[in-house]
Amino acid sequence: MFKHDQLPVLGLGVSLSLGEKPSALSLFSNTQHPALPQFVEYAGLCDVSLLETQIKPLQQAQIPLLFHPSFINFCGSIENNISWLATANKHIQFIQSPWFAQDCAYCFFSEQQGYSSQYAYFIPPILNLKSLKYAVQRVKEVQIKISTPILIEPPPVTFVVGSMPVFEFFGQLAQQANCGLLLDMGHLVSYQMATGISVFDAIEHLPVERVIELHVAGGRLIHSGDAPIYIDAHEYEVLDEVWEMFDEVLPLLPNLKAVCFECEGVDERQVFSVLNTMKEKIIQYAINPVLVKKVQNTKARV
Amino acid sequence: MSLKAQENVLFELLFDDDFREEYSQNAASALSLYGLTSDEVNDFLPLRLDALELEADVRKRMILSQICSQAPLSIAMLSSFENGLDIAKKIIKPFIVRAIVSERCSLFLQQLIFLKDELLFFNEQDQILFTQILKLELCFAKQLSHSNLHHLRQCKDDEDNAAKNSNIECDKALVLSPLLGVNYLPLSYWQIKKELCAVDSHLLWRELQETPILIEQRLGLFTAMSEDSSKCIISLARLLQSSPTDPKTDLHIIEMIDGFLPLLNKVNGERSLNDILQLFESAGASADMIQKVIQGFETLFQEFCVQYN
Repeated sequence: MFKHDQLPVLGLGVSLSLGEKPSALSLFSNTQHPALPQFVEYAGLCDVSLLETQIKPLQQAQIPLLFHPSFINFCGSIENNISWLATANKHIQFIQSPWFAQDCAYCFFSEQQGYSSQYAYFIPPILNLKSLKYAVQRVKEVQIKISTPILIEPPPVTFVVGSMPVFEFFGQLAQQANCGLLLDMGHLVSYQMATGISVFDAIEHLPVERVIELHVAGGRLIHSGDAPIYIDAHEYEVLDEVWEMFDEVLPLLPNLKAVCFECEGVDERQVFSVLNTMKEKIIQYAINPVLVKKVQNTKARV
Repeated sequence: MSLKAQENVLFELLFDDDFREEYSQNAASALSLYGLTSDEVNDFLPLRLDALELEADVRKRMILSQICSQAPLSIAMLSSFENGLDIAKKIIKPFIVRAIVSERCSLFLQQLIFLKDELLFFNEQDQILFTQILKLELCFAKQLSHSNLHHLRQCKDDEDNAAKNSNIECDKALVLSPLLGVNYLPLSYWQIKKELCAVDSHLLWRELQETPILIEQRLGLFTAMSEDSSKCIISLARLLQSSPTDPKTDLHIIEMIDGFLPLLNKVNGERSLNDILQLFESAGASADMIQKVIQGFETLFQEFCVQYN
């Protein structure tokens, strides 16, 4: 059984790229705003020794950290490299990340492991049973080498290959690999727009007790053909469709521990405005009382 | 069949323009070449073609942006030709995307050298300069290739252990450092870069799409050329950071007067600096020129471009 009860409740946080705007330390230094972040999730290099100067100040400020990378193949036929997994594990241990979450997608297509940026961004998995079987293998091979629980995240899509509903694929993956789930509200909207089918049509397949973290992020719509295409673009505003998804998903998740605004490239004032909306919605809709209590007490740490 | 066959199709749909075109014309026929079962074929039927095109375009632009940052002069110059950037897009094929990132630029430039006959050059000199730039940046790209990492790691250890700023001993046999690049350009590399690249290399692809280089800018390079503007471009790849997953390399580029090129050809592992100076002197070089050669070799020695055999 996935031991969700052993994971800490982190509350409301921000996800960003270290060394780029907005600055995590600057966000945490703000003492005025009613909705301040309580943890930082960051994307970055696998080798933590190359990020120490950026991470150390956050550690000194006792800010809880989560590593959210983009170099693991959590799906597909190509195995992850042992050396990369060992290096990732050192990273996770160094920052004491309570869990390790990443989009379940192709980051590399050859024996040479690399970052998803080599293809511009993640290539989503094929949604069928054979692909599911391989994804279970990939998650399990990571679990062997990584010392914390794994959360997998459905990536954003503009088109979908395969006919399994997203919640069925990821629900089964989480059950079979015994891992947790991270749901990005924009990514779920992207599935709806790409398929024309509500994700909630297959809600019975989602093991809601395994959903530990949620993401909210900016995006934009490209109007083309019969339906819009959702583009995951964090520097843009959070779309109404994403807020609606957030409202619908929050009341379903009894073990939700962390809710994160992915704010790379977003103006600081806008970050606080979105955090405030998220805080209000969590208090209104979330059903994990520990999370609600934690989020009610957002305050400056630095 | 296997998931691999389906992965292949997905990859080709994203990165092979011809296959995507075939798919959009007749999906079932295009997919029939991949040996998929009917269930596997059905996974690809139907796909949102507008979204597929959008994704393919965004991904290709990003990959070109990465390549452009490694070969800024070649692609900036290419943009000054009619359809130049379309040729760049045409080169991005699955075999390039499948290559690891540090190898893609070499593959791209090799293809561009092959396709350069499709470009309409103003004259022969124009064609020669473009070819020289392509070959120079191809040399750079090969020097930074992943396959050289092991060697660069060893070099870094050697350099870390070596005394810095040591003076060259004139009677010891010299050899060029392994993987050293030696090229000729009729103008300074930095001057061409200044003329053609208005923004940082990582922003250049986007800039060139919006504002390609004008043919007048390209031809303007020739007015800057003179007898003493030509350069011997010496490049050495260095490992800036060693890491099991994130090694970082860069190129150290030294420009010497083009007369240095024949002198470097004399460095063969047997001759010392004294031997080379003697040859130079017997060819009628002045004391002033000899002094400059000594200074040049000292620089190359201190920068690890030449070493004792």
